[in-house]
Amino acid sequence: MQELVSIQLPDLRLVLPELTVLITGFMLFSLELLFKRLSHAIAISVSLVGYLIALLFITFMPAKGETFFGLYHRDGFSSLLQFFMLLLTMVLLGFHLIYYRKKRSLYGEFYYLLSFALLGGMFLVSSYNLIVLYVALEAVSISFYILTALLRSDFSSKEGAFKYLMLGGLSIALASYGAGFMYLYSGSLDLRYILTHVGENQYFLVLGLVLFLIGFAIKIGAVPFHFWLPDAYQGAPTPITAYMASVGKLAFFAPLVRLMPYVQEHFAYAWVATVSIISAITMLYGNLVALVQKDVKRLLAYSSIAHSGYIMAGIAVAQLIGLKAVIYFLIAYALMGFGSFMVLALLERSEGWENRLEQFSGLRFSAPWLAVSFMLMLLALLGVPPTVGFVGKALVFMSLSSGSLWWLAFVMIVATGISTGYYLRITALMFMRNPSTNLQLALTGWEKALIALLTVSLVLLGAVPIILWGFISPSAENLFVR
Amino acid sequence: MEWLIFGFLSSWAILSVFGVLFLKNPVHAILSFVSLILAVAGMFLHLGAELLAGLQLVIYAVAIVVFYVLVITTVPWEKVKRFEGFYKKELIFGFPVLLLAFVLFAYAVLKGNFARVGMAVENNPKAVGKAIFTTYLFPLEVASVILLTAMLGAILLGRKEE
Amino acid sequence: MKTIPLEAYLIVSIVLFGLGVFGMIVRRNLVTVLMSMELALNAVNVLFVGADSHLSLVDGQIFALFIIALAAAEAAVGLGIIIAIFRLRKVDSTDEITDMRG
Repeated sequence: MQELVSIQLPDLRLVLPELTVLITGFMLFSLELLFKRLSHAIAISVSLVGYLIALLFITFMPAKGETFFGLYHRDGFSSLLQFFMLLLTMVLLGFHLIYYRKKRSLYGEFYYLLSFALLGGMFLVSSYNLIVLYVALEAVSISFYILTALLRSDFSSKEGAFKYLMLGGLSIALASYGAGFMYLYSGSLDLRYILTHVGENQYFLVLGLVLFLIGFAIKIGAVPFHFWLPDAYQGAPTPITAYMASVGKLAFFAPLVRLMPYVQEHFAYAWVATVSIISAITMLYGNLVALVQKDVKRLLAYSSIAHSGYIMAGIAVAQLIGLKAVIYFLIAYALMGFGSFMVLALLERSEGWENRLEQFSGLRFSAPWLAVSFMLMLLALLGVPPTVGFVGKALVFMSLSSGSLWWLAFVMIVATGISTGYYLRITALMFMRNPSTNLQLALTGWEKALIALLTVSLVLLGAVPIILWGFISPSAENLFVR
Repeated sequence: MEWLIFGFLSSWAILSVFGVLFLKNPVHAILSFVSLILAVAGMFLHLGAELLAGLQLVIYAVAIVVFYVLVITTVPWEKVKRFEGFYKKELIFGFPVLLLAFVLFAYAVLKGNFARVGMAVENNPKAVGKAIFTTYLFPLEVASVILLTAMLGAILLGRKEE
Repeated sequence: MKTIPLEAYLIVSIVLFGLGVFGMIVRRNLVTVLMSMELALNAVNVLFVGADSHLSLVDGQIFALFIIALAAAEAAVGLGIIIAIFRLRKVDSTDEITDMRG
């Protein structure tokens, strides 16, 4: 019995935000279990209080370091992403009640599932260890499969969830197979160790890395691995689509961003070549297919694929400036994507709204506030100054030119040009035609305030980019320090 | 002798895989799946991972297979008999891709180079247990919450809506 | 135990994984598609345990343990979704899942 273990308590100050979210989740779970009919006001208040406390922990206790035997790592990057994840989850809770009530799918378990998806995402952005990445990936994915399928009597929701599960399962199998080969090569499960102790004969490492990256590429929606994304995004309840497009993307891109500084030594050339080709294909395909869509939700899903392409263009440049551009654009797209899908969710509350393109005609007469906000969000997605989308695209463009990837910069300009086709078409429909559908929409004060907040933040963060840049710059530099 | 055991186990596994892939009736497919699990558990035992072999048997061959059998038997097969089997077109096109991928992988495997050999581990369950409860405690806790969530989700999705 | 080279186990693992992925694409019945996914995950486990016995470490076996447990969880959710699909539409083949196009 002597050599059993020496007790060594991990440094729990670093994981305080995640612990708060975990405790909130369990409280929600027990509340739902104990009370026959859960009062949703109580559940929402408990969630909001919990997430607010976690948010305060992140803002006011900036501890950095490693704990849990090197499995968990908190630095500026993970704190920044977790901040936005918590913020977006809190905003989501403001919208979901009336939407789900309208669709007759109000489940008390929703709050717990949402908090657990958030928890998985928070862990996914905070680790270099392959086991923790696998477990966190499964946590986020399983919560998303369940949340996608939770629309009562809606076949496309279950169909989208099943497609998501099939391809998500395949992606996780590929990523763990890659992890296996990397483990075999180096004897360690820590990505930093694996990529810095590279020997001469690298077959296993390359094979492992390729499989691992293909697994993640499926998750972020890179073409040609994107087949699940349009169906899953279209079938899911729209608030969940907003959540998947924003927090999901933040979480799934994070391990790739963490990987980027470590591939510079040995694999820089191969990395730049492959990632830039996939990025170009993704940008062009996403925008071209979005042009022919008649359903706005599916159109926004393809736009999400195109934005994954733009973000990957920043990843292709394996330098510091590319890293900063990627982090900026990730946060920018999280806000834009969330906002645009949330506007759709609000519009869906009116009778007979089916997200069809023609129904957007003359929206400015029936719902002026929404029309203006949606227009600003579309312009942000397009990348018009002074929105945050413009700053993001400009940063990616700058990093591409600094990395001498001129051809990719050209493709990005072409892709953005193609995207004006559909963004401007929706805007024109909203403002210049006569209303075609009869819209009855009653927005509560909270919802109007939240939409206004999102729209204003898009413009504000774009006009004064130094707000975000001040946080992104040092955290990106930290990622490069070994 | 070692080679005999290995050959037996791997051919058993591969035959079961062909059973899972090509048998039309889902009940036959699940039986081949069970035999695959047993073959893989045998391989784990042969490799010296006793704890994992036991866990594989308990989790897969008992829990997961029961789940699959439950779902398979609640579906009335007479109504959906024409949808059994597999897609012929994908089969024909997929096969050369599969072969090509296999050749590439096999090349990488045979030419590859792996890490150094450490010292032997004497008592497998003790070593694994020690590592799980010290170094890897954190993913273990997260995984337990995932299992709770999955159970919740499966119940939510599978129950009858009134 | 060291008489069998690691390459042999790796080849077995590759064959299992390739056939598992192939099964996911080829099979029509939804439940057998999930089964092929479990097959691919078993192949990953064989890789990890084989690597572990060669390297004399235990981390690979722990990863394999997590894979087993979480694959069970994913299968549970997948089967729940299949039951829900079947209740709504009485469908049992991937042919029928073509509602959304574009």
